[in-house]
Formats: sequence, structure tokens, C-alpha cells
Amino acid sequence: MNIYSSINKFAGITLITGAILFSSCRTKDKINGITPEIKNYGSLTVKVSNEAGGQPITFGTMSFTNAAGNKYSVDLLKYFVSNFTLIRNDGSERNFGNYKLIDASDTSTCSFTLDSVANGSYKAIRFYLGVDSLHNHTVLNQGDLNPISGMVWSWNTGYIFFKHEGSYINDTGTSKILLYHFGTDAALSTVDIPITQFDINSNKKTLYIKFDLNSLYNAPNTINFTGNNFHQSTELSDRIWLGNLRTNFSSSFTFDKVQ
Amino acid sequence: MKTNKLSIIITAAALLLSTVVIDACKKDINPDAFTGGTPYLLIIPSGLPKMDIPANNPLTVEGVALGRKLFYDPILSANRTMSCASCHNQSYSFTDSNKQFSTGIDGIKGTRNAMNLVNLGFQKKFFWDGGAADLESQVIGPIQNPVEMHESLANAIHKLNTDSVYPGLFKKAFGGDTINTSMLMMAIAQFERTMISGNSKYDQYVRGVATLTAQELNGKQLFEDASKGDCTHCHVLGSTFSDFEFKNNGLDSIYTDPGRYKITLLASDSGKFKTPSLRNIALTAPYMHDGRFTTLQQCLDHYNTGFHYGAHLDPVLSTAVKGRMTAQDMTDIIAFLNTLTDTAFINNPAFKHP
Repeated sequence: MNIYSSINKFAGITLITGAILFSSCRTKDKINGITPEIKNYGSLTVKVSNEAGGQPITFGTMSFTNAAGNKYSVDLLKYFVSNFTLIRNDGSERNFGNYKLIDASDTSTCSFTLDSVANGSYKAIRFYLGVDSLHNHTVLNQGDLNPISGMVWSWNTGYIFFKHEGSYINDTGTSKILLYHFGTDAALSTVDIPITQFDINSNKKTLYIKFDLNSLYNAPNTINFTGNNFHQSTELSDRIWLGNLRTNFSSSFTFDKVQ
Repeated sequence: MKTNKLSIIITAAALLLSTVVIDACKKDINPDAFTGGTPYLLIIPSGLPKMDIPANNPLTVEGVALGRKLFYDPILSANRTMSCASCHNQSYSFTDSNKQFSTGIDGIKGTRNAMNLVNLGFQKKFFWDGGAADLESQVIGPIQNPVEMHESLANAIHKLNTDSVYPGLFKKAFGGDTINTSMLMMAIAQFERTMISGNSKYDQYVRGVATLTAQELNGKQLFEDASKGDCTHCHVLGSTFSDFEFKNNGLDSIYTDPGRYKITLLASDSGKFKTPSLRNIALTAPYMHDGRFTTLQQCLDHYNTGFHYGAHLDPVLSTAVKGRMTAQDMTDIIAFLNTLTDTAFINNPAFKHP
């Protein structure tokens, strides 16, 4: 009897152990504490198109004119989009905690996929133009935050949030260098894109947004490149420029469509 | 009996289920997966504080050895002519002999004196202005600096990945078949954390195994005396000999190099530089961020009478009396500073070219 009672106990313990193991495996399948249900969740691809004055960016040609009247070119255009957040009609938010480096010269970098996005109606998008302070105080990162991208300062630990390098024509008609390296914690810019309403479902799983350089240099602060063409975010003289660009980022991104 | 049979069946079924479930869980585990290198036993001499080693970069025998090889290997410079050790020479406590400024691979001189690489593992920010926020991130500075090794990170990593030896060494230290930037930074930082000095004559005196002369003891007292040397406000006595904070020590009232200000853009940080450790100070001339002083006597003269009353001068110095030290006081303080030389450190075979 004693032996059998032990076996019974053993059976019980084994069952419980099995159950614990089974449930611990199950936990792994949950994402952020929500068990995905195939019908209500899916992946969403976000595609960013880069333009200047509504025209696609062409590189290395003096093709664009900003609101201040400066003709300019783009040799390099890269920036970080992070902590992409979708805001539902009921006001609830989902921050995907992602870090994406967009290189306008390489369309394969201009889209990213968010997993387990709830189907439904949404009213706004929010993200950071830049890298939050949690990840901005070390460059010991891989993926899109790998410092090999050149989007870091080597003398001042942190990410260059936005880089535009090219040239512009100054007041006397001379072509001059244009170098904008925008960053530091204080420059982290929150981009809010309010939208009347958009739906995400199995037929609408690609979200298109546009970034426009001319808008960045236009509103609400008009950026004139003359005498203002070289900024690395490390001088007191960069401060006004930093503040102006930081404010302008929100209006430089617009919602296009979901399809 | 029925009950007993049933319980056996239940037990068997439960065991089977557990096994299946355990196996299912195990599917994620690769038996060949990298489980980490051999833990490195870091010995911290008594008198020094506990070292906070980041959890994401524990010291391993393989990682430290790799970092040491990289520290001495010119592969990290663009034309393979300079390594970290080119400007950080062990014989001079890892400074650049007696040079005011070091010369990079393109023959261009920098604007700041090569720093003393001692007890880095106890420090939080690096470079004279603290621009590097951790020891790992510091690594990419000199590699990419145009007046130092002038190499791109992408090319440095490419050279390491196509080298005949490094991929195997990195794999032993960090696992994986491809070297990445994090592994490079982690390896060098690991080696640097082992570069500990704590066996100077002064340390031996604190442990009771050496005696200081009357002059050295007097120098120690003057070093601490707030009305004389007043050195310990910044160069904390007894362990690291620095608070590793950023201070304006009155070198100039108009700054050619704004120092910490370049990092924070705070006007109050103008002309501030990191307090350097005084360990091995007799070996690290010239002194100050720009190497303007060639002797310790000049440094003491500066703190005694030479400092400028600028807007951002450190409060401790702005209230210090000019001329408070006699010539003999300064001579005695220098005698004490000479006891901070750690010959075991500059001769330690573990830090030499492998």
C-alpha cells in the first residue's frame, strides 16, 4: 500500500510538474501578455517614402528649392524612426518599441514590419524621430542601432538622429556644403500624425507615410541655409537650429494611405 | 488493485507527458550554442573600490586575451601603422611618453594629451570631456578619429572578419561566426578593465608593508590639508586618486578648448575637464588636458598661485588662498606623489604586447 500511495503521490507531482512546464511553454507564445488570435491580429508593414516638395528624392543633383529660396541637393539622407506607436479610436495605444534606420537612397530600408497588430480602427500614429535616452547613452547595440552605420558621434556617445549631407547655392550663387547632423537627448523629436480614421485588417495591412524634406525646412520654422549650412549639434550656435528642426519634424511626416 | 493499476497508468502517462513537454521546451536550445567563455578572475587589490562590471560584458579569459591582442594590433588603423598602444605605452602608465600631443596615422597632431589608462574599470565617463558614456563606447572614438587611427568602423570590422586569426578568437570569446562592432568594443573594454594599479609604495604603506619617509609623510599631510595642498577635494586620497568628475581648474579665463561644454552645451561646463587619476603621476608628464606643464612643480605652482579667476572656476579653487604653499611644501607634496608610482603595473606581463 505504501508503495502504491507513493506512486500515486508521484503521479500527482509529475502531473503538476507537467502542467507547470506546459503552461510555462505557453507563456512564451504570448506577446506582451496578449495571446494572439489569428483572426484579430496580423502583421502591418509601414512604408516611408522620402520626398522634397512632393518630388521623389534624387541624389547628387541641385534639384530642390526650400521655402527660404535656397536651391539644394541631397547626397545623403538618413534618419531614425523609433518607438512606433499606433493609437486606436478608443485612445488605447500600442508602442512597438522598434528602432528603424531609414536610408532614403535604399528603399529596402524604408519599410518595416510590426507584428501582432490588432485589427480595428485607428486615429493617430506617433513615433520618435531619433533614439530615446535609454539607447542613446551607449553604442553597444546591434541591428539598426549598430554604430557601423555611421549614425553615431565617435567623440560624444550617442546617435545622430538625422543626417542630411549635400550642397546648396548661397546668396552670391556659389555652391557650398550643406551638412546637418541632428541629435542629442534634448533634440529627440516626437512626431504626431493625427488622422481622421484608418482601419487595419487582413485587406489593409500596409501603412504608407510620407516624409518631405521641404516641409522639414519650412514649417513652422523656416530654415534658411545661408550662414546656417553646417551643424553637428555640438556648439552653442547649434541650439536654435536644433530647436527649430525638432519642432518641424512633426509636420514633415504625413499619412498617405492604408491598403 | 484496480486503483493501483490505474495509478501506474496515470504515472506513466504523466511521465510521458512531462517528457514530451520538456522535449518541446528543449527544442529552442541548441546543444552547440555558445555558453560563454571561461570566467576571468579579476583580483582587485585592497584599498580599491568594488568594480561594477556591466552584466552584458562579463570578463572572460578569452575576451581579455582578445582585447589585449587588439589593443596592440595596428589592424584597427586605416593603414595598419598604429594601435592603441602607439599612444598608450605601458612604460609611461599607458600615456604617450613625454609628448604633449600624439600624432595620428596621417601625421596630424591631436589637441589633447593622451590619457593615463589606469583603473579605467572604476570610471564612468571617458575622454578629457567625458564624451564617451561607457568604456565600450569609448573604443570607437580613437579608431575613427581622423587625427588618430582614422579608420571607419565598417572597414575595421571587415579587416577583422577577413583576417586569418581573429574570427576564431572572437568566436571563442563571444560565439558566432561573424565579428560585429559590439564584440570589438566588448573585447577591448574587457582588457582595459583588467589594467588595475594598486601596488605603489603608497599602497604598500597603507597595507603596512612599506614605510614612507618623513618628507613623504609630510607631503601626504599637506596633500590633504585644506589650507595647503587641498588636493583631496578632487584627487580623492587612498583609492583611485580622482573623483572622475569634471572641473574647471583655472587654466585659462578664455578657453581655446571648452572641454565638457562640447558635450553638454551647458555654459556652466565651460573649461571643465575630467579629474585625472594621480596614480603613476610621476610617469605621465606632461600634465593637464593640453599637456602644457612638463613638471609636477609647474602643476603645483599653478594650483598655488597660477590659476585664473574665470566665471566657471571650481568653487574649491576660487576660495583657495594664492601663495598658501611654501616651496618646501610643494617639494614635499611632490615627494608624496612619487610614492604613487606602481612599477609592478608598468612591468606587469599581463598588460604587455602579447
